[in-house]
Amino acid sequence: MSRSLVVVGLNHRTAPVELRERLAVPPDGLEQTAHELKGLPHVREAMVVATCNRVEIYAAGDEAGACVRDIRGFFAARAPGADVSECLYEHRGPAAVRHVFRVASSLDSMVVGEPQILGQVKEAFHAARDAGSLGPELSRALSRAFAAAKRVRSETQIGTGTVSVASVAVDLAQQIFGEIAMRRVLLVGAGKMALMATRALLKKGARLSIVNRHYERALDVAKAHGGEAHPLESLELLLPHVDVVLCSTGAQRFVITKEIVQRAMKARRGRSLFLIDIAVPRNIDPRVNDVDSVYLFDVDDLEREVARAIETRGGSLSMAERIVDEEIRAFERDRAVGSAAPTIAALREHFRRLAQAEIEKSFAGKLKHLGEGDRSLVQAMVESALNKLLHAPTTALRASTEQGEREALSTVVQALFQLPNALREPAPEKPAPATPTEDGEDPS
Amino acid sequence: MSIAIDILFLAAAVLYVLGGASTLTFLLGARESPGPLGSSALLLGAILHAVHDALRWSVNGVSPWSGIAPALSTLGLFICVLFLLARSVRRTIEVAGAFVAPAVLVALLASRAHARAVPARGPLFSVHISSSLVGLATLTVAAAMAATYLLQERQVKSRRLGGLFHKLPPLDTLDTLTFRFVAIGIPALTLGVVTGHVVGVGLNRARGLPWQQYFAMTTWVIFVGVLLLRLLAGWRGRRAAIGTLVGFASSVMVLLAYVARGVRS
Repeated sequence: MSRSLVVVGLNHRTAPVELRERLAVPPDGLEQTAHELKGLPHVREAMVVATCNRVEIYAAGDEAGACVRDIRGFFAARAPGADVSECLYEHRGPAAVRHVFRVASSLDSMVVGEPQILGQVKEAFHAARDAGSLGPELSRALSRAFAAAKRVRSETQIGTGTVSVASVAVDLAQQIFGEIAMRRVLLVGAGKMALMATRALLKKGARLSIVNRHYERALDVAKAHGGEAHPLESLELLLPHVDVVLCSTGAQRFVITKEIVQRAMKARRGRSLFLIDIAVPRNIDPRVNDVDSVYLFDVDDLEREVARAIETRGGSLSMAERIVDEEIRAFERDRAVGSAAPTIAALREHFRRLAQAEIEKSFAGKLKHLGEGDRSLVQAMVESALNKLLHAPTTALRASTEQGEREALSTVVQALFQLPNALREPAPEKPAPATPTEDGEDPS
Repeated sequence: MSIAIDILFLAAAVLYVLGGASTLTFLLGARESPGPLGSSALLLGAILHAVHDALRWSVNGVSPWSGIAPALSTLGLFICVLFLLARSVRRTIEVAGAFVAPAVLVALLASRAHARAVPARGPLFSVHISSSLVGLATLTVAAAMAATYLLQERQVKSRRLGGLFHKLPPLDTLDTLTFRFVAIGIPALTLGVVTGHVVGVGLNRARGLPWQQYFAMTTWVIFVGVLLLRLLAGWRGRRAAIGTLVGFASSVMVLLAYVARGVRS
């Protein structure tokens, strides 16, 4: 009987942050937790995936139900007094495989397509391997899940679509400048949306200057974000030295005019200038966009891009789901072939032994007169006939992807030919491969 | 052996078509990822192209200095190799292959034109051809970058941020590469024009300089102008890209003039 894969856990959709915090496992605790899980009575293999949005245990056991009960108990023991059970979800067998594949491919994430989850699952995999809690079932499933995630990232644009005004600003800046690190961002005013976009740019390594009508406010923002504060009057002096301008003031007129930008561009010697006007009414004269190497986007442009990105991501999503389906089918196929292998080997060995005994009997009796060459010919003929005879049953066993069907077929074959019960007498457990081997790469 | 040379020629041409078409289908939206086909086909095409040129030289004695036709084949090879080198450093410029592949293909196909062979004219002539080919190849890659820049700049200026915008490289990357290729190409082109002038004066003492050389000098002036205006007056981006394309168009006129003269005689 092959082991069954199970997933038990909670995530941002099923549990409040307070509970997720109580059950959180820090990265350096993953190995210890996996080790503890392996010690549960019905858990044979275990791995813990813990992020700020989810805590999940991937496990394998001989009896899925008992394995799930053990894990639910484990969760309950870690958050005494809390109603953990209500927040937990569970998946067994094929549903668990699908869940693992979707999580690794970032299809189950809060922000679909975010790239961190794959690294976090790989980190969990390494911790489980180091804890010795990884077995063949989890190892095979995870290897294939990593391959699926890799395909999803390389064959779709699921990770490239942008979904907020701030990330659109970063995306646009990257398409204009390439690298944002060390680029200088000028924040004019301190509107909420402009601040969010500024933070997103600073995360990419940009440096910050702020001008504000109220110098104290500029100082506060500069202190909070690590930038330089200037009075609003310095705006024109700063323009030649910055690359991105985020404008969001309450002014009722244009703060940045075409003439100001033209003068700045002379001093910039043609270097690109990217302006984002998030204010309503607008703070930057739209004619600025006519100046060479100056690129102006207003809030409508950004929101249009957000809508387009969400639409693009929708198309990529269905493509990503198709890839996951394909990889799951391939995984199930490989798994079926792998688990039918002992019966196939026993069947072939049984026939080969019978044929060999008959050949030797004949060579000692009626075919005694045959020379070496003729004996080899007879041997080859018998082997060829055997291969042809065994082709159909071997193919049928390999093609049975459903576990029940495979076991039924194996039982019939074993009964008909009096073979040892290969499925009930598993080979000694092989240690998990050191790393997933879907493409010969270390998962890190 | 000539069959082998023909097969190599055809295979390289097919691979260049495949490389260009693959990048173009990605740009036009048929695929979400460029995949490895485009640059792999160009790389394999360049290898077969190089073997083709080497065999033609060693077996038939046709060197890049034997006439305008073999020189064009070498020019195509140089363009492809330069682009692949640049792409290995900046992967984002892969899509510029859509402009490079047709230029390489045209140069390869034009090398089969029945132009007359040029008699050996000494080392200065070889230096003229070699440096001109290096210069023109570098400036052609610069033109491919400039064309890609203009395409991307159009997307950004018109705020059309669809698939093409995300598939094209960043504007600054393209602008920097255009400048670098022009800066690298100009010394080679200068050497080509100067040695060409000396060789031309020697060959045409009675009739004066051939008019193709005036075209070549115009090309040189345009590219030097693009470079100086950028360095001294901050002509970057759109203006620099347009200047580079004008220079490239002028260099194509020079080549066409030489091809026409070679075919006529």
